[in-house]
Amino acid sequence: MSTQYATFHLAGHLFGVEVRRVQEVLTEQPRTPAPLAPPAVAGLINLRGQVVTALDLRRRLRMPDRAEGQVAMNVVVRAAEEVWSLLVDSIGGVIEAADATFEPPPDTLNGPVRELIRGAYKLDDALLLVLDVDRVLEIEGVLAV
Amino acid sequence: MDDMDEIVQEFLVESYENLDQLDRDLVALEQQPESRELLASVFRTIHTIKGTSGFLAFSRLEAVAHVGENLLARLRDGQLVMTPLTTDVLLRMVDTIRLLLNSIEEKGVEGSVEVEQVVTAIRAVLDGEIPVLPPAAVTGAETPAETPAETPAETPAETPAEAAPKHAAAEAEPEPEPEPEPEPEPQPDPVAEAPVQVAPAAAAPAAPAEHETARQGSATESTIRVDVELLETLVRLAGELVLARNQILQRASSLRDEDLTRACHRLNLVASEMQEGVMRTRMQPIEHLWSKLPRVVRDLGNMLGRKIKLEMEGKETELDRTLLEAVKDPLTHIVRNAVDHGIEPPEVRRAAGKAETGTLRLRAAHEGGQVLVEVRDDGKGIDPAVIGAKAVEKGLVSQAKLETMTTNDILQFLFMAGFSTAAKVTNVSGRGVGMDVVKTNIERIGGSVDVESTPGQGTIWRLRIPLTLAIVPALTVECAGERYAMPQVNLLELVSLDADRMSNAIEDVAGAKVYRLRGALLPLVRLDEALGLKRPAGEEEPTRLVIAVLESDGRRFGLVVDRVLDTEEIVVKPLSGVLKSIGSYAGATILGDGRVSLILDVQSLARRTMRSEGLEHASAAAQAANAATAGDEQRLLVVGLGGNRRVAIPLEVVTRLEEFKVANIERVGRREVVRYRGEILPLVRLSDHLAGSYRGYEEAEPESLPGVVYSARGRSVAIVVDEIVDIVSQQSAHSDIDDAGLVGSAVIRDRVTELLDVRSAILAADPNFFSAEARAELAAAATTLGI
Repeated sequence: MSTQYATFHLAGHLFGVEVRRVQEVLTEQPRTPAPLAPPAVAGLINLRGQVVTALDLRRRLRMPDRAEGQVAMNVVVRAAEEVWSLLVDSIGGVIEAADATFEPPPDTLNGPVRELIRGAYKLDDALLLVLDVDRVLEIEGVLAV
Repeated sequence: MDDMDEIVQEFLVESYENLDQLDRDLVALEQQPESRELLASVFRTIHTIKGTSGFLAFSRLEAVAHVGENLLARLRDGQLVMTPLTTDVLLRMVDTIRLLLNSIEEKGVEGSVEVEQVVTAIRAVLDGEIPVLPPAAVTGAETPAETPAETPAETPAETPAEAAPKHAAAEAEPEPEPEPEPEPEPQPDPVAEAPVQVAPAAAAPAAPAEHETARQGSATESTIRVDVELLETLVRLAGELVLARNQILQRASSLRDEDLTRACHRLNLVASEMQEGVMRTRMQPIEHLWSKLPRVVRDLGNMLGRKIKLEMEGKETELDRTLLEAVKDPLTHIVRNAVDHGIEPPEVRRAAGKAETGTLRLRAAHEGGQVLVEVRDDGKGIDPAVIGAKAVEKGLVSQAKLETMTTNDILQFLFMAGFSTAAKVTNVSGRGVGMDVVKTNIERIGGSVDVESTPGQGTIWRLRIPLTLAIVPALTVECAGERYAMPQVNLLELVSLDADRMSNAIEDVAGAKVYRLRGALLPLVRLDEALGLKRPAGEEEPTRLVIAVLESDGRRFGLVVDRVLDTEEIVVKPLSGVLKSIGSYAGATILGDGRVSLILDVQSLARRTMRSEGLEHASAAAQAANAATAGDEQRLLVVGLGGNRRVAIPLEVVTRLEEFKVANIERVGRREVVRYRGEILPLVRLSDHLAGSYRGYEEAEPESLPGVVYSARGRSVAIVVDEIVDIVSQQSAHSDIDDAGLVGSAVIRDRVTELLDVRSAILAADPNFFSAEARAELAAAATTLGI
């Protein structure tokens, strides 16, 4: 058995989200900032007339901000009632990961990343960290994010 | 099982609608007991419910509907005549059916809803007896054990005797037999003939449709049920289409391609028409709202012993369903209020030379892009003298001021929070919440409400409601490089300030920024501060600012932004939960260039930013004063002196508030001065100036003291006080109890506060302050200050 993941890069790590959760992938979009929102909220984008909230995954995972001028790609995911865009560094391909290679979060990981991933697949050349999308989107009340 | 659920669901939806119709029909039937057409309609409804509930095996529901049907069949066949009692029993039946439906909806089963009472009562009517109706309406389920359930024969003998007079009293006071008013609209006979052909038992479901058409005029055959969610989607998509069109038009106009322009023109027309059409799918006739009112009026009228004829005009007037929902409670409240406080008891009406039956008239119509809903009664009207007296009693206005107010102005007091004129609190209305809530709710959806009344002749309440909410006219503004939209309904005016005027015009009073707008102080909210916006590094503060004067919840405030961009129609889009919870945004929209813009929630912005209690209070009081008429109230700076003394200074003479170091106060002769902005500022200590103020000997003098600086024509004086307490708005009413240096006193926030004679205080600091040439100006100022 295996599962398909849409993958992307974030500060040198390879992350994956289940393919069925991903609605589409977009290049950099103009964003309208949302003052007073938690810092991880990067703004609002216009997705064919729909207003979608963009979440900066680097901030959510407490990684350093992207370098000035570095574009952010949008991974548009479906959550319970809403559609969100996750800002990532670059898009990888769709990877078919064998369930047998899945492991709980490795011990070397700690901090917010560990809490927000479900586990990792040991690929031949890298570790694929599986993002727990629902937990990532639980940002109400996480004021410090 | 799913199929079954769907059938039950449909049955519920249909039955609820039918029941509303039933309520209306039964009340109408009471007025025209001979109307076969109405009877046939009622019969059909019950018959359908009976049939379907039997099929779905809801046995209790079937039992109730069954006896109801029997009774209705007799009525329809003329074997029984409609009486108020019959109406009561039938209405009770409707209530019971509704309870059963509720239970089915919630739990999927009929539950423990008590049905025996109503079944027994209907059987009693069928047997020509007087039924026992438990006094507690609707509840039903509570006391099944008490009721003799088996047969009507078991009904205790003494009960009918007891029940009869009670009903007679409730229904027919003061005359034993209420002769129904002859209906003004003569019903054409042809229609009445049709139902006769329907055989009692074989009222086939096929038959209703044609009668329905004949009766209602609006055919139900040509309509289909559509999921509301689907409609919402269509409305949303139509909105998108309009936005896309706007973008295309914008581009196309710069390309000068003739074919493209023509195609765009066509697109423009189609999109507009489509939007209009789609919006109309959400429109519902106001009848949906009104259908509940006959029952409300009847029940309440009976309870209060009023005779009321309810007339409705323009029930086909349509408005957006979300708005319909929002108007429901306010409208019901006004109607209840009219029954309770408007229309007099029959004997009072007779004594006043009016018809015993009062008329309550609902009217709806489209008027200038809005829907006007009018509730008019021919009752006792509202006596402005009573309202005025109450307003004075509550300290909202002075007696003197009241005398100059117009009737219309006085009636506006009715919309103020806590203003209830009910002499005694009833469970109908008069609980102190009411018209203010009505006003708030109507204003929340961008509508307005007003009242007109002639004592002795009646009252008219008018609601004005926008047609739809999804597209709103908005003002777009810019602040710190970003654009924001705000609904125009909140906007009163725009004030532009250039750099020169900015520093003078915006003043700081006790930490709050205010602007003098035609003499009145307008609390200011800077949008950049309210949203915590940071201007990009290197960008200069704007040299011009715009104050958008906004009103929300009756509070007026100025929102300071960098620039006003445009007014445009925007489509309101929902925000994700995380942004909604911030509370500053009402939604988002997409502007012509495709960028997202946040819509400011003016209401909560006002609340969030004007946290300062003083301003809150001042604004609330200002609202009161505005309702009275502008210019009547006075804004006062309340200061504290030793000995727990409170003194009020008109805010007009407060140019600035400063803190003076006691060590810096110097003496020039007998006077005290302080160096201030390169000048010598004469000052007066208010506690010394006013007789009777003292500071305890053992109390050390503080290091610095707050002072009120008043500047005019290049001269300034400072009035030094012990503390700055508050800013309040106060009607100019005050008592004449005064003392040297005071012009009177008033109760402000439950404390006796002395009103400072500003002129004498200023003169105490600087005897030459009012130079000769300034006397004219001072005289003018003195009048406004009430000195």
